[in-house]
Amino acid sequence: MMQSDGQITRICKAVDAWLGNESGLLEQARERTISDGLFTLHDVGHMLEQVARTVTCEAITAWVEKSRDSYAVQNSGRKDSAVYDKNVLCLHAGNLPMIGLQDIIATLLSGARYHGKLSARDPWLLDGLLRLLQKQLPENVITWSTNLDDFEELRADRILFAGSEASVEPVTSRLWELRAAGKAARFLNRTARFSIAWLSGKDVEELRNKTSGAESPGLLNDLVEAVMRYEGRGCRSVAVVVAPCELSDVAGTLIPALQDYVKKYPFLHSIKPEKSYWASYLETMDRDFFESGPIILTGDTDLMGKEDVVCWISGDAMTVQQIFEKAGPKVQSIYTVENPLPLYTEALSRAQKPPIDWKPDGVDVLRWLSG
Amino acid sequence: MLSESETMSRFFESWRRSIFDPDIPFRRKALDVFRHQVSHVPIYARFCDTLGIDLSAESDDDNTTGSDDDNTTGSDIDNTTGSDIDPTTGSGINPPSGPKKNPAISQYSDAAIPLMPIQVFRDLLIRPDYLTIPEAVFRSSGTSGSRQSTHEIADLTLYEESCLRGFGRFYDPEQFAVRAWLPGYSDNPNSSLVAMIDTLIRHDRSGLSRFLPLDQPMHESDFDDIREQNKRIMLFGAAFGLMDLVDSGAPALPSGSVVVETGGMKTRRREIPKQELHHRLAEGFAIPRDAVHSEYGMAEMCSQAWNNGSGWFACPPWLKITIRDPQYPMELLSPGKEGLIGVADLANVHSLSFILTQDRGVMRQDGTFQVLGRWDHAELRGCNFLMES
Repeated sequence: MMQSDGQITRICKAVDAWLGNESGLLEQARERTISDGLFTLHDVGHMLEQVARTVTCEAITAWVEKSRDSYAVQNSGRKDSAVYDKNVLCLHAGNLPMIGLQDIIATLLSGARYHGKLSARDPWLLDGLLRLLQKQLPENVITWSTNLDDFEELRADRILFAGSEASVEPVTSRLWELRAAGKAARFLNRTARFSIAWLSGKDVEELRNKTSGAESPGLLNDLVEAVMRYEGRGCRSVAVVVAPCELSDVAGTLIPALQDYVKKYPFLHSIKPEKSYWASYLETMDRDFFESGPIILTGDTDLMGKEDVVCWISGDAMTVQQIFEKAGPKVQSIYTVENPLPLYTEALSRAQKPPIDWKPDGVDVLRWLSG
Repeated sequence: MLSESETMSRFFESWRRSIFDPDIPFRRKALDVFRHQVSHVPIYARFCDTLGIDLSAESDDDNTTGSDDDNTTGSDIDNTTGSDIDPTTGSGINPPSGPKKNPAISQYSDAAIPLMPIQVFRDLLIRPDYLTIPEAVFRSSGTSGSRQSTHEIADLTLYEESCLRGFGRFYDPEQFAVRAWLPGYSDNPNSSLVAMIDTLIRHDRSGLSRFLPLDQPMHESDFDDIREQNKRIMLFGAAFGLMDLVDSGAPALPSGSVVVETGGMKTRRREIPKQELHHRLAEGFAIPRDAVHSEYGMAEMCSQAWNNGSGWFACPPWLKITIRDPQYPMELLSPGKEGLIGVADLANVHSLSFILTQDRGVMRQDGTFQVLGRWDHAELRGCNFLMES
């Protein structure tokens, strides 16, 4: 079902060449991305660091093994449905966090042919990598374009994309119209929007006793990074914090830390000078809230998940469970420090440092492609 | 000397005259209502103040330079048209005075008037300072365990006039007899939907309009009296109720009938796309697809927008819909872009006219719009593939 070690080696070679700036591709892409105002230098730098750290032959091999084992367990006795001769169309979003890169690698590992619709809002970074991957795997890396019409009549067998629930219907309709999707095509749409952090009483105590800045490692920095990285917009970014205390109890340390981050790494999307509409509303309604640059922290759950808003909810593990159930497919991950919960959780420190085999929407894309 | 009730009555009447006066442009009326609400609805005044809107300044050139077609120049508010009696003073609206800081709101377009998030109807009682006892109260259905919104109606005549005049702009009331199938809504005595349809029924001079009994199946014979009078049937219902009817074998409606769905798809069953819903209703009632219409209204509004077969909603002249940037709701989105639906319902003059809904919408160049469901707050987070090409 999945490809050999040779395939993995070639993927890693291409990634290494990309990170090594072969033919100047990475540097050009990075410059264009930043000069076009698509992402900030520090976010691009962070993403590349994560690629270098996570896209290794060892990590990919482990992912393949894990997916293969899982696939074998799920499909014992069933005829293998290899996807070697299949076309996979990846519709890449314009966000930096690495769903796009993961989809490409998973497609190549599955042995299928890759076709990619790159986002016009983020066309440069993946383009360079794809050129190098095509050199290594010319039979698998077929086409990529920022124009969806270029995939007319592709009749792809599998479609990968990430979008809001509202976008599912128009996207699929357009793909049918163009016959970019085959009649029996299977779609994997990832709709997760944000993540939740759960802090214990001990964590809160630690937060209270921290001061912001470089001298403050650990939980405070992990939380700030989880909230602010990629301008707080990634599905792995924390939009909800559940803790056994009120926001005002930790505001003394948390707010300055968030402010320091924004000062150091100004957000690209916060260019509006006027007072925030939503902050004005919260003030009018006498709700507790704090502003940290473009970010509003509030206990008002009406604004849960809203961009630039972090909801701080006083509660316990049961509260986390309730929010998770209410928000449903909008939640990507639940992060904890070291507290067990009756839910699948990840370490808060890994929020913006996911491994190559992380599961957007809880789905192992490699296993899905191979099934 | 007028009694208090006479003063109030004249005050309400003057607003009705103004709001429905076809000779006063929307912008001028909107600014008039805006100033009135800033003066008499404290929570709205506070919201505008926190937004940094200069409420103390009024343009000196009001009444002199206004052009209703030019959104950049001042309005020529005429205090003799409609808003000439203030029950708190009995002597007309007195614009607050004070030093000018920024351009007065009257220098802006009506679209610059701040819209307040609709949640305020749920969290607070919106009552102008001159109102003691409302004539009616509307409450939202409060689905999924959520708290209900409360909308006090100070002047029921204004509400009814808005319903009837609005309806009359899109349909000839003489042609139609209304039948309403509203399971679920009859449990809510404060339903604005029931109030609107009840208004239409009570004002049908033929006497043929009525609510349909919910404990009996619907039969073709239920409409015999309408057919005999050569009237057309207008069947109202919430989307889920109509779909239940279709699923249980709805009667074929006679030629010329219209089915009006009033939203509410998500309340009881899986949400289905609007196009599919209308297609299934057309098939179920054996009527053409363009005979399935819709109405857009809510407990927080006194006016309604109507889609009379084109697939796009249009408004009566005292209601204006805009599409707002969800991140910066003070900004309008251009036609074709999806955003939050903003409402300026001047018939809400005695509560709050300028409302930011939680509905997702898109508008055409001609001002007609579609409602695309609820806006997902988290829309701008996470990866989002966009239809760019």
